[in-house]
Amino acid sequence: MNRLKTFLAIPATLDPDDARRRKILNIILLGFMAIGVFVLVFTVLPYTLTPGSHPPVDQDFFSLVAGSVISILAAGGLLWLNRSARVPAGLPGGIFLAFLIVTLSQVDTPEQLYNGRSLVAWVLPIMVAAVIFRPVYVFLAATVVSAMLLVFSPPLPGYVISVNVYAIATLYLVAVFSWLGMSIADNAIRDARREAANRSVVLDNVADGVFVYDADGRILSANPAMKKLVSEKQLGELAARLQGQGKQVVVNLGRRELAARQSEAPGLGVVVIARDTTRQREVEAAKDALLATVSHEMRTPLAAISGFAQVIRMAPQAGRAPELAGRIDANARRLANLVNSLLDNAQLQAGTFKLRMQPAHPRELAEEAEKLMKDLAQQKGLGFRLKIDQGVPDTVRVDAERTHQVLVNLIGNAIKFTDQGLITLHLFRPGAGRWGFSVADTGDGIPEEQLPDIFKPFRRGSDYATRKRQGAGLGLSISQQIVGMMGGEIRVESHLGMGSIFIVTLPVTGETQA
Amino acid sequence: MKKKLILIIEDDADLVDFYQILFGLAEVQARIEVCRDGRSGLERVCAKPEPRVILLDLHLPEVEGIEIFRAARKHTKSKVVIVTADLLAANDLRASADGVFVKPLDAEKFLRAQLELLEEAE
Repeated sequence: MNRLKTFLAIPATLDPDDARRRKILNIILLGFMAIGVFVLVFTVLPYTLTPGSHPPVDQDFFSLVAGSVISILAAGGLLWLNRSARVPAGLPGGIFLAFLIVTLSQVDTPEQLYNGRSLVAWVLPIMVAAVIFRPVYVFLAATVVSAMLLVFSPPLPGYVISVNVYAIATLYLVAVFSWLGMSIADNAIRDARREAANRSVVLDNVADGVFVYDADGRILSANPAMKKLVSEKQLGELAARLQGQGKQVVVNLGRRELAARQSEAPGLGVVVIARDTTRQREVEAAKDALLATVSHEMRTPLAAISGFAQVIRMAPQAGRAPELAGRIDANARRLANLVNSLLDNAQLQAGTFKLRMQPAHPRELAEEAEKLMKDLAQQKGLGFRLKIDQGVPDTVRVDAERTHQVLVNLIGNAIKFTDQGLITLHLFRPGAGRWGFSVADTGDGIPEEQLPDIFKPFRRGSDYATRKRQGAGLGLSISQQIVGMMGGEIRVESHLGMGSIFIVTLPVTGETQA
Repeated sequence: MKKKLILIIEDDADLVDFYQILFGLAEVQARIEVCRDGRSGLERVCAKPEPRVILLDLHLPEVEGIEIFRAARKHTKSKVVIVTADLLAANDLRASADGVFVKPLDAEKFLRAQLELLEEAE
């Protein structure tokens, strides 16, 4: 079987359409050969099996034997010719078609071939032409066959030749339909090939590893990126470990970490898209470690600076020492707040930020914030008002500390960006199952074009007063994410020259968002 | 009457000084003992006399503060106040410790809390 396959192999360098046609020609030639063998065997067999009572060895016997031997040899020769890339694509087919037409012209009497039972035989070369040549060649085949019909036509009295118009018209009709059918098939094949090529271009060039395994964990295919990612042995191990797992799987192969996403492709197997996340994980771990260390190592000396400054303020000192100590302390705290914000921001981005949801009292939260921030507002000559609506729930579920952080951030911003007027903290109930607070100021307001960016980290309305006011611009971004995690929303309304209002609404029951 | 005992377990010398100056300024009527690493802290917590209040840093040389915290809870009735720069660890202990302060401290708030604890412990 394998030897036959090798014999029938066609050159790999061929255009795919030519290759397909050569393969079809091979099949036809094999069939032709088989018919030859069949005829030969059944012509010769009676003479060898029953030597006494066989038909006479006449001219028919010899022509049958000679015809089948010639067919077998011709088909074999053409099969051999068809293997060579140096032979033009159409040549073996052309020779075969000529041979077929000549053979057909010998199968019956000229009358029958022209106008009788064998007329149908002429359809054969046209159909063969349709599958072994480009579709348009059927018309050439039809023309050749029609010419043969003319050759076989018995001349009518008074005419040089007679034409069987109906037969020729039918042959051309067959040609038209063969052409139509094969053109449609050719186009479909070309489209499919182009699509497959597009797909494989994507798969070959995509940075992620892609492979397919079957129900037994066997690797069916893998793209170049996948082969670069892991060895063949590791790929088998990976497939074994992915089998029966969920859609998103993180697999550790040796010291490497791969994030794999798999999905069932019916009739194909399981398609896996894998990415090497080792480096990413290392970078994240290093970043976390750095941040934790920096945070710890900064806070400890800050604690000493701030502590001693506070002690100086408490001590009965003369002169400006308490005031200056107060400034040292304020700056140390600013630095500590920055460290806190950076740590919060890093945790929010890494998804390791955790909330501690517990029952809390909105009124207490507001009063605590008021107590902390009122002095700060008054130091700047600003009024501070706390307004609590009827119907604000007594108890809600929130992370009290983080809610306090949001309140302090919003009020702190309001004070920072307001030079005169009033800061209003307002507790309200926006609807069933929700509660909220807003912080309004009478500051400059935020230009409209900066509103969309206001909650982005490190932005804080870029140009707007950037140089004038302090802060890293992380507070609003952190506040928005904290509020979001608690199942709430934060939004801002602002008009230039009239001030801004930040409005937070939260669910009373505090369903957290993952 | 015997003076109440405050045990400070803190490896940073400056902060130890800060606590001592702060308690001195506020004229806190207490005796102060200091352990500068985790091992001596752990040994002291398990020994007598029992401190009224333990000020405990979490990241200490040799023995981690969390171990000292567990030992103090197991062997003593001392009030344990966590003072740490590690915000995450601090959050984890908020429910179980008698007080949690993240460095840098608000000196007044801190002092008030210690005075309350000292009275409570009587």
